[in-house]
Amino acid sequence: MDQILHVFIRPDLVDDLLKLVEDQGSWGATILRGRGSSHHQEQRFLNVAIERQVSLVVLVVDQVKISGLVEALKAHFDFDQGGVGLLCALPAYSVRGLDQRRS
Amino acid sequence: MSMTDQTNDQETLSAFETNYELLLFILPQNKSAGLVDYVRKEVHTGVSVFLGSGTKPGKFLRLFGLNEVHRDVVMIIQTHDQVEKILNLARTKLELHKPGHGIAFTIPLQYLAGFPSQNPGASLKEKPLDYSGVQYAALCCILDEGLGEEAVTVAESAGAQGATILEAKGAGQASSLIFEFNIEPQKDFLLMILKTDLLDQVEDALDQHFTMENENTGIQFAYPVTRVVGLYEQEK
Repeated sequence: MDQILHVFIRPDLVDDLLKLVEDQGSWGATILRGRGSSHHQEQRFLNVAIERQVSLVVLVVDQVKISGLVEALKAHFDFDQGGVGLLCALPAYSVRGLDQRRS
Repeated sequence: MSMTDQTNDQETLSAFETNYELLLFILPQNKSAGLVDYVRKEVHTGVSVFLGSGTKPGKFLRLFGLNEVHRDVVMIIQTHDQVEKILNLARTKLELHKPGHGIAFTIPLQYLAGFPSQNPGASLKEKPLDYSGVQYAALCCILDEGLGEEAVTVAESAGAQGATILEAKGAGQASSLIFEFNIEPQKDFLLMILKTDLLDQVEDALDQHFTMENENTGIQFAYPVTRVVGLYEQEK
């Protein structure tokens, strides 16, 4: 079964991430741009919280590839360091429109 | 109208790997700031907000193009207990029990990295997932820019109650390099909450309308939803 990888990451790291994803044999990511606040530190200016830009990379990953991809991403990006980002895998209830591309 | 405040997580969460959930709110723009402040101060967790657009029901609004409204999609990752705390506040402060005040729903996580108090036992080990207790799914459909509204109409004709559209871009592939410039096409990212017994027919309708069996036309995927708050079902 496929899983859906979500990576919340600094926008300047997205290109690196996409290259790594392709190197690991996956592709077809979708990128959303938003704003976010980190749990690691909050920056304030004139007592107003400053929200950083954040990118969310969403990618459907074949279950046989996800462990390798996650390990590669963790090795490349130090997610435990504050302000880099956050990675999570979500279960897929259904997926359509990918099978033809994988063949 | 009847309101749904579905809590069926007890049957399903035990089948998943982690105790963490992705909590999503789809809110009118003027409502997200208060929620974000509360979550930062009281739950001490990060929050991400994405700008989207939703649709209001009504033939006349649609006819005159007035049915589109801005929405904030707020995403929070937290433990099951903290999510419950945030949801309890949201039920009262955000008045999610009233139509048009927003909805909230949760998706369980199978793996998490980069979260400060994360349980180190969280892993990607395969475990059979039991979807039998899941009554709702969050369907995402990614299409070329400009097709979002058409997709909402198709989904609604198949039984969906509306959708939120977010602006996105597709990741360029090596094959899409033109003069060394990577082409990143703009995309519409649709998000809708459906009862699982409606999911197949909505997916079929989108599949057929946009001929998704052809390459580069679009993809759709659905997440199992364990809790939904504030979802109204219009009586037919």
